[in-house]
Amino acid sequence: MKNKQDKPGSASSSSGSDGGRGRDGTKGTIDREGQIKLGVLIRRMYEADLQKPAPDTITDLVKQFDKTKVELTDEDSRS
Amino acid sequence: MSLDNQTRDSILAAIPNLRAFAISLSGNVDRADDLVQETVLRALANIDSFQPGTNMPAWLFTILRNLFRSEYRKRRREVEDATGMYAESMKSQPEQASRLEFEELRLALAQLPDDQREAVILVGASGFSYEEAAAICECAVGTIKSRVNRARNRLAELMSIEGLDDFGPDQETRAVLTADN
Repeated sequence: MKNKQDKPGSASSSSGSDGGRGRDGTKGTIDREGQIKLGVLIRRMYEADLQKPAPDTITDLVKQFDKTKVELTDEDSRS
Repeated sequence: MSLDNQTRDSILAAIPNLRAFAISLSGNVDRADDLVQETVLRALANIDSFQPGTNMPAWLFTILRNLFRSEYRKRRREVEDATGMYAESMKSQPEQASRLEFEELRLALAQLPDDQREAVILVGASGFSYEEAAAICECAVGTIKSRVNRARNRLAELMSIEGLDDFGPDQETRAVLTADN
């Protein structure tokens, strides 16, 4: 996740101005300041979610995983 | 045979991110926990298919995203907030000055098409590159860029983001914005 080849907002990103309405009905594009504001808000919301501890039931699944006790179903094998 | 420590640690380390992504996708903490638990179970059952040295978070996110799209999306539409539970769950979000902003953002995110929502979260919050997000979503890099761009524009429109004051008196946000500008 660390090696970003093409970061949002970079020159090669498609976040530049394209004007008009897109197929989804949105109009135009937001400017750089708007992008930054929105980006900050999204990251902060996400980081707030990161702070919430996951239920022990989930982490225990990993900590106590013993492969010899796992019985694969056909469905599992296909995923 | 048990998991080797490195694999176990990498899965454990990814769980908070998986959960945050799942919350963003589903808009519901309980459903997100179910989704993460199912993802972990699926990953453990198929751990032999993971190639050591490759991107564990991306592998797990791919499993979670596919599970969501195949199962949880249907459920979400079935309950489309008919009882107001979704809106209520938004109220239990972070106890910070920006809680209302988060609620507004979550409600706006919920109005995005699934493909746009996952794209903007993967790239804008989870820390994946466009290339990694494209691999997770099994589409072209250009498609991810387009989805992120549309998502940003739509979110800005829904949230009426225009000026710095839209973010209220939050010092941290203002500091970041000032530094970036």
